[in-house]
Amino acid sequence: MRLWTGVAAFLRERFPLEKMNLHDMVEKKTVPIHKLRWAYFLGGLTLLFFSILAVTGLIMLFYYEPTVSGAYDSVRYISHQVPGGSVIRNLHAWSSSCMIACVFLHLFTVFFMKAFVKPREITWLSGVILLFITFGFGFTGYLLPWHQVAVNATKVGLQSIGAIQDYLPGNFKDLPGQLIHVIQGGDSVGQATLSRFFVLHVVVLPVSILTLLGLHLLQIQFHGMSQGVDRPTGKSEAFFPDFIVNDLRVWAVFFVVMFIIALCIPFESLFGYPLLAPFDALGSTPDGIKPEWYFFFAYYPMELVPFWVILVATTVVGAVLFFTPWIFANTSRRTLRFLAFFAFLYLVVVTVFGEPITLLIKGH
Amino acid sequence: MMRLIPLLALLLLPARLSAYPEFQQFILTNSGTKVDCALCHANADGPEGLKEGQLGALKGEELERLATSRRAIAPGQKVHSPILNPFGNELILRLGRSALAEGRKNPAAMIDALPEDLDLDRDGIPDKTELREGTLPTDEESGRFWRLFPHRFKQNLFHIGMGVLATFFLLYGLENLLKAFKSRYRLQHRRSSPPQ
Repeated sequence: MRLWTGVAAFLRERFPLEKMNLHDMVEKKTVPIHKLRWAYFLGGLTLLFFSILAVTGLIMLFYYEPTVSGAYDSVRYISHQVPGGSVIRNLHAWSSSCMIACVFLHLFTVFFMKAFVKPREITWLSGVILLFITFGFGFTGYLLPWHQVAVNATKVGLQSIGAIQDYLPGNFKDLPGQLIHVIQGGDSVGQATLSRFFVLHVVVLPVSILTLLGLHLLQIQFHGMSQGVDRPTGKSEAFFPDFIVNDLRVWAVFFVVMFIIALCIPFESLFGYPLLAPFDALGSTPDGIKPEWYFFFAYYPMELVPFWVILVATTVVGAVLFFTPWIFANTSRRTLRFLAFFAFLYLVVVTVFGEPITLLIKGH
Repeated sequence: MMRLIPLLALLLLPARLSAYPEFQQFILTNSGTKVDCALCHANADGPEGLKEGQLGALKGEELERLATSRRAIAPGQKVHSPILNPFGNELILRLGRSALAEGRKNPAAMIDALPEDLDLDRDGIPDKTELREGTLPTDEESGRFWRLFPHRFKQNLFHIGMGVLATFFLLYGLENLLKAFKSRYRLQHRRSSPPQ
């Protein structure tokens, strides 16, 4: 009984329904002004990139064919025959990377500004789940063009799930294999996998992300922006319309930059062309198969250390991420900044220099 | 009998003349990019085999075209070899087969012999640069991004300008709309609040 009372009190504090009115959620709301003010725009930027992804994804759905025989050609058709298709596809590809970069930055800034403490635990938790859903978008979307790098990188990703079985006891050993079978829809990556990834990418994950995004934004409106610094300046701006107008200005700048990049730098120019050839089931795996850059933080260490180390590290990091509001409730912002800096440094170094470091250590 | 001539030519010519792995090695050493035969050939696995664009799959008229292209020893002969892509055919036109075969000993010199203005896919990167860097001379989206950017920026200047203008006007409209909402809301709020 006491547990239920506790849960009800917890939820009542996180969902103050009496605040669900225009006055409390819009008119009264202010945004602090201080040296870390830029961090308040990162969540909005993530939303901008998600919106670009949704619109461009919908346009591509008119032409994309989720079959192993037609996927590659339909993507080529979008890029080379459909008027404006190339820029739409490039906008989609570049925005996906930018969205993930923004999500990472947003996570770090929220962490070091200590914006996760009571009563913002649900905002943090929904944000962490949104991060995983974003990774899910990246993983499922990578397969859809059905070229060499897409299919082989997916195979590598799925194999890493299979590697977990060596560390599971008794009856649980079969679980990873069964999970792979469910994801693949068969013994190997094929039509069933493509269909499943397509449905996940265009239906399941968008519905999930919209639901959680609603919860995330509702929580932000309920509890307002966190002060974010130890010594507030006392200055603030009205959320409506001042902050929204500034947010729109930032959106406009980033949209124009994204539009220019999409027009001038084809996303696939970053890959060597042999990797973009249609997937050949009978051919050998070409050199240079890698996951998308946002998985490098786990991919390169996997090449160097035993798999169990990665398994333990990811479990610990995942648990710490979920329980951050309680683990770091009493930690100073100075310590949080220190931790965030090292985590950020790790991500940047492994993402940018992961390959040469791996080659150096392996002695190639 | 006439139909047999191309077939005989095909069988008599040494197979090594069909594909030049030395160029792939040169590109790998020069740029660090691993390329396959799709750079010049119709099939990414090269000319030998039974798949589309390979010797074993050629039929009547294609064999004749192959024989014609194999006779193009000197430059200046326009060919349409079924085992080559448009860039491979262009190489034969510009250099001739003898220069291509010679080029295996010194790929850098052969690539330098290509004209600077040859740019089949019109992506702004000369084909000799694409060949050296291992990007596809037949795909306008293949190329080092820092080389593609200036050309595509110039090419799309009008679209970029229109995009900037559209974004600016949309932003201007939205900003004023939001400010109008705010003043309207304040006005209504003042009217509905009791006088102090």
